[in-house]
Amino acid sequence: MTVDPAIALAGRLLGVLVFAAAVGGKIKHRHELAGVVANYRLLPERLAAPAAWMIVGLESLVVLSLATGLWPAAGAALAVTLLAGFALAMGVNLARGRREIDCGCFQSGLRRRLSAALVARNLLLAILLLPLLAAGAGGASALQWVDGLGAGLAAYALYLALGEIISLRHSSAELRRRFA
Amino acid sequence: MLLVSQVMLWVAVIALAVAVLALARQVGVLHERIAPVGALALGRGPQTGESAPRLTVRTLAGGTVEIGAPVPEAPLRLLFFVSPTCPICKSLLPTAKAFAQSERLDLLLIGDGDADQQRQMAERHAIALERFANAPEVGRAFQVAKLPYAVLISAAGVIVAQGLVNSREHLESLVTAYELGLRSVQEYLAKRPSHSA
Repeated sequence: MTVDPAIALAGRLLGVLVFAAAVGGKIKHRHELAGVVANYRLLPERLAAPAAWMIVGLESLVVLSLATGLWPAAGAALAVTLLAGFALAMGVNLARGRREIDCGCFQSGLRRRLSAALVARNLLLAILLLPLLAAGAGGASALQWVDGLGAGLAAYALYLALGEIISLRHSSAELRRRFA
Repeated sequence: MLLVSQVMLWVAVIALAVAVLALARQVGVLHERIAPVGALALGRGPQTGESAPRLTVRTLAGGTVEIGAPVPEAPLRLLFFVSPTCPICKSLLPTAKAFAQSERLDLLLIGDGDADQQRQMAERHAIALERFANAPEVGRAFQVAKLPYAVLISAAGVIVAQGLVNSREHLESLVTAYELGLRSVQEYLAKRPSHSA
């Protein structure tokens, strides 16, 4: 099955923007990074810092691969694996009842607690990137470039909006409790 | 022609998506503004105005400290509940230390967990080991559910203010609440005259 070049372009742009923002956020908050990873309590404490930097390295590889189009299938597979891995890590901690820990999204200055919605958002993103695994190297027409880049940018803006709405849900629940 | 109309459509779609994002952010900013700038009392455990539970704890230096016992003319005591695994606790520690000094409070850190990690934490922030006790029973007695949590105890052994603290402003609100004779930021908000008229 071949994937329309417009869909592949949209997925690549979305992946590049999401992972580049993730790398940027983690580097900006590098002092908290190991602490956040350690709070997930999935690894021995001394492995938290190396694991944190390994995640940053792998995310950078995803950005490079998707931006340049080198080994796009490998880049996409890595991206999907990382997203599924984060979803699993959050799921395990939700199952343990540790929903108060910071998710480590670093998208705004705010801490963001774990929630099932965040797990779902990660899985949705992984599904959106799946077509890249089967993308061929076919050239795209001008119209396909316009469609691909437009859809990629719009999807990224909607992804950010979704993140905001997920954290709004929590803060409005807190407000309701306070003024009840 | 098709290309031009496609470009126009995508520009419109992206502009709408950005508008939705901006609105969601704006609502978030509003929520932040409404947030109380005071320590949030959680309403569990010994309440403000009641006597603090009496406990004797062993500090990391090896000595003992008595909590909740009336000591005439002693300064106000600030119990600050921390954990080495709580990132905000670490960033708030230097603030708490400076705040206790400037307000002449008797600061006592209460940890829950690995003693070695707490010793490292105390060393990193230059906190005397006599001022740091690893005593999970204190957290249980005060029913501390969220960190960093602070409790202000008077010389008579009475809890005069307490709550969840995330900033210097929150810590200051404890002393202000004591001076105003209020129990919590919730009580302050409830008593505040409404400006809606």
